Amino acid sequence: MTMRRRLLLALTAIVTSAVPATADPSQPMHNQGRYVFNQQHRDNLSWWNRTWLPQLVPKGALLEVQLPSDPVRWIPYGEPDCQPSPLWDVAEISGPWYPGGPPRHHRVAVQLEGQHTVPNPERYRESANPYELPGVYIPVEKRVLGSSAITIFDYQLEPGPDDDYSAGRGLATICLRPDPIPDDVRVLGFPTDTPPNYVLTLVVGVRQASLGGGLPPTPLPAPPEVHPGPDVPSQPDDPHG
Amino acid sequence: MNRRTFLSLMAATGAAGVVNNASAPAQAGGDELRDLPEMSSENGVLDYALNMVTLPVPVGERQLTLNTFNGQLPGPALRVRPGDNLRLLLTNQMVPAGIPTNNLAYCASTPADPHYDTRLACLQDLWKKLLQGKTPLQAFVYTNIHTHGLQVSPNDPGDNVFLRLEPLAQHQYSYNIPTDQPAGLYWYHPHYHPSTAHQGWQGLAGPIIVEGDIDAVPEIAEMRERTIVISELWIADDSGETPYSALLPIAGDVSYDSMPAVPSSMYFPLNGQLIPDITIQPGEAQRWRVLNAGPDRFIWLHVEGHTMEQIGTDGTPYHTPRSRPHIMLAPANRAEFIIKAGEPGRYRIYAEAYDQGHPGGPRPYLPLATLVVRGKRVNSRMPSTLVEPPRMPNLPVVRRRTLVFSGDITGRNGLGMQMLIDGKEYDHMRIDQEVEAGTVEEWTMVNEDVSQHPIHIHTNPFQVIDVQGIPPGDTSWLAEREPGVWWDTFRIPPRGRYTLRTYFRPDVTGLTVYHCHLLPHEDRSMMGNLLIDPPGAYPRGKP
Repeated sequence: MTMRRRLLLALTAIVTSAVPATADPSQPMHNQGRYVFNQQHRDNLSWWNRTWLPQLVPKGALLEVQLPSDPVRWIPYGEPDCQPSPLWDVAEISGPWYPGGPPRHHRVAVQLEGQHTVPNPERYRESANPYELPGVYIPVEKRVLGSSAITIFDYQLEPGPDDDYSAGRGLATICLRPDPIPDDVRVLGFPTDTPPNYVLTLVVGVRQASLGGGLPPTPLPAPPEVHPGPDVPSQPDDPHG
Repeated sequence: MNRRTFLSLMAATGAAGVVNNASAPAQAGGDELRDLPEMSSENGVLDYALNMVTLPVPVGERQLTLNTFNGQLPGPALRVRPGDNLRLLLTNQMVPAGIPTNNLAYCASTPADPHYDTRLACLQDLWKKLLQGKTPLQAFVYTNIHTHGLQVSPNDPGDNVFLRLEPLAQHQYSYNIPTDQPAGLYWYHPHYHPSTAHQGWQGLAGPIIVEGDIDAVPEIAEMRERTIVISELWIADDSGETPYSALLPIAGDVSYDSMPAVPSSMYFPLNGQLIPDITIQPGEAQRWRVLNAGPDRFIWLHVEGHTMEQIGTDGTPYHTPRSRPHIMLAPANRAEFIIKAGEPGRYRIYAEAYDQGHPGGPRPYLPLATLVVRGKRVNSRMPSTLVEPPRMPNLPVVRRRTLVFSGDITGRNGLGMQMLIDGKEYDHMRIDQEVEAGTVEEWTMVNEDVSQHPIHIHTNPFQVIDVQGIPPGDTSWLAEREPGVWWDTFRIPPRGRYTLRTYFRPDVTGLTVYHCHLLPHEDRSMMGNLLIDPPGAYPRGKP
C-alpha cells in the first residue's frame, strides 16, 4: 500500500468517524438525565423566607451545578465544613424514614466527576432592580456587573451496594466556595443578604414524583448515555458550535 | 464520540465543524409530514368549537401528557377570508399535570418586602394568592385565546386577552375579520398572564390562514401548499409532562430548568412529528407557510442545498418574491415562501445554532425535518410579481415614544426572572401606553439586555424603519433590514434598538397589550397595556 493510499484511507477514516457525531444531533434535546441546579436552587435564599424547597433526587442521580464564575472561581469542599442546611436539624430528631430504617440525616456521598466553563458575557448583568427602587429606572452605569462565564460541575451520587436498600439514601450536600469572595454577592446571582458559599442540600432516595391528571402513566425514557468529559472549554460564540 | 468531545473537536477544527454539519447525512426515514386538519369558513362564517383538553399524545417514541386543542398537536388550521366572521367556542377542559409533590405552592418572597419575612407570613401570602387565583396550581389551568396578527377588536367577544377562563368554563369568541386583513398566515394560542409559557410549552397553538389576493396569483395557485407549525415542548423526563414550575434559564441543550429541578427534554415537532420527511418532486415548487409557535427558541431556518423564495412575513404578502438562503423565525414569527426542489436526494431542514442571548451561549443546532426530493421531474412556474402590499397611510407622525426593555435572570432579586419594561413590572390595572386610533406613531424599542426580545404589538402591524446594534458577523438579519416589510413581532438586537412606525387603524379601539414573545419573559412582566382611544377621544385615560 502506498503512503498516499494510506493517507487517503486514514483521512477517510477520520471523516467517516466524524460523521456519526455530526449526524447524531437528534431530538429531543436533553440534558443526559441530569438534575441541573444553579444559584437559584441553593439553600437559605432570603426570598425563600429563610427556608428552602426540598429537592428530591433518586439514588445514584447524576447532578449538574451551574454557577456564575468569572472572575470568581468556585472551589468544591466537603465535610466537616460542608453540612446540610440547618432546617435538617429537624430530621435528626424525627427518626428514620421508615420503622427500623436508617436515620434521615444519613449522609450520601457525592462524587465530583468533572467541570468545565462556558462563556456567558453580559448575561448575568443586573439590568434593573425594581425592589430596591420600585418603578425607578436605574442607569446602566449604576448596575451590578455579573460574571462573564458559567462553570458547570458534574456530580454523581454514590448509590452504594445494590443489595442494600438503605445505601445511597439520606441527605446529600454539595458545597462550593467562591475564590475570591466578592464584595457584593450579587455578582454571584445571590441576594445581598446571602452568604457567599453555595450550599445545596438534597433528599436522596425519594422519588421526585409529580401529580398528574389521572391519565395513563407515560413510559420512562431509555436511560441516558452519560460520558463525563474533560474540562474542555466549548466555543459557544461559534455560530456553528 | 460524546458531545463534549465533539464540541472540543469542533473548537479545534473551527470552520471544519461547519463543513461537517453541513455535509452530514440527513436523517433517514422519518414519517411523511402530515397536513393539519382544516376548518374553512362557509358563506362568510366559520363557527368552530375548540376544546382545550389534557390527553396522552405520542411524540416520537414517547407518550407525553399534554394540553391540546381538540386532542391535536398542534391545533387544527382555521381557514377564513377577509370580511368573514370567525366564531370560536372555547372550552377549558385542562387538568393540572406535572405538579411536583413537594412543590404544591411556592413560598418565595422578595428580600425588601417586610410583610413576608416569616414563614407565617408566607402562609398568609399563599392564602392571599389562593383567593386571588394566583398560585401556579390555579393560574396554569386558567386560559383564554389570542388571535395573533388578526386586526380585530380587542374587546369582548373579540380578542380579549384579559379574559380568565377557568376550568370547565366556556367562552364564545366572535371576530369580525376586516375586509383589508392581508392574506397570509396567522395563529391562535393561549394568552392568559402568567401562564402563556406553561401552556405554550405543551404545544397549544394552531394556524389561522386568511385567504385572499395572493392565493389568486396563478403560479401560486398551482402549487402544493403546506402549513407547518413548529412547536417547542418542554417535558420532564420521568413524567412526560410539562413541569409545573417557575422557569430558570440555564446553559445547555435544554434551555430552562424547574424549581425543584427535574431532568427534562425539549422536543421541536413539526405538525406534531419529530423530524418528518417532506416529499417534493425534482423541479417542483411548493408553497410553505411556516410558524414558529415555540415559547422561546429562535428558529434560524435552513434548507440544505436550497434557497427559499419568501413571499410574505407575519401574514402580510410581498410585492415580489425575495430569495433567502435562510430565514430567521423568532418566536411568533411566520414566513411564507416557495421552495423549488433541486436534484433528487435527502436534504436537511434545520435550525442553525444561534446566540439569542440565552445563558451559556448559542442555542444548539437543531434538526427539524428532511426534504426528500424524488419522483418524476417537473418544472413548476415561479411567480415574478405577487400582490400590492398594504401601504402606510401618508399621515404625519403624531407621537414618538421610547420603551426600554431590561431583565435580570440571576435570581438575586427573587425567584426566577425579572423582566421589565421601563423598569416596571407588568400591572394589569395600569395603562402603559395610550394612543389614538387613526393616527401614525413611531416607537423606539431599546434593549438593555443581551437577550434579544421579540416584541409583539397586538392588533396593528408595523414597519421597522431603523435597526441599530446588530452584532457584527450575525448574518441572520435579512428581512429585518428591509424597511417595507410588515411585522407583528420584531426582535430587538442585543443591547440594540429599533424604531417602528405603526398606524392604529381607526375602526379598532379598546384595551390590548404589547409584550416580549419569549413567553417566559412575558409571564415574568415584560408586558404593557395599550389603550387605543377612538378617533378624537384622546386622551381618555381609562378604558
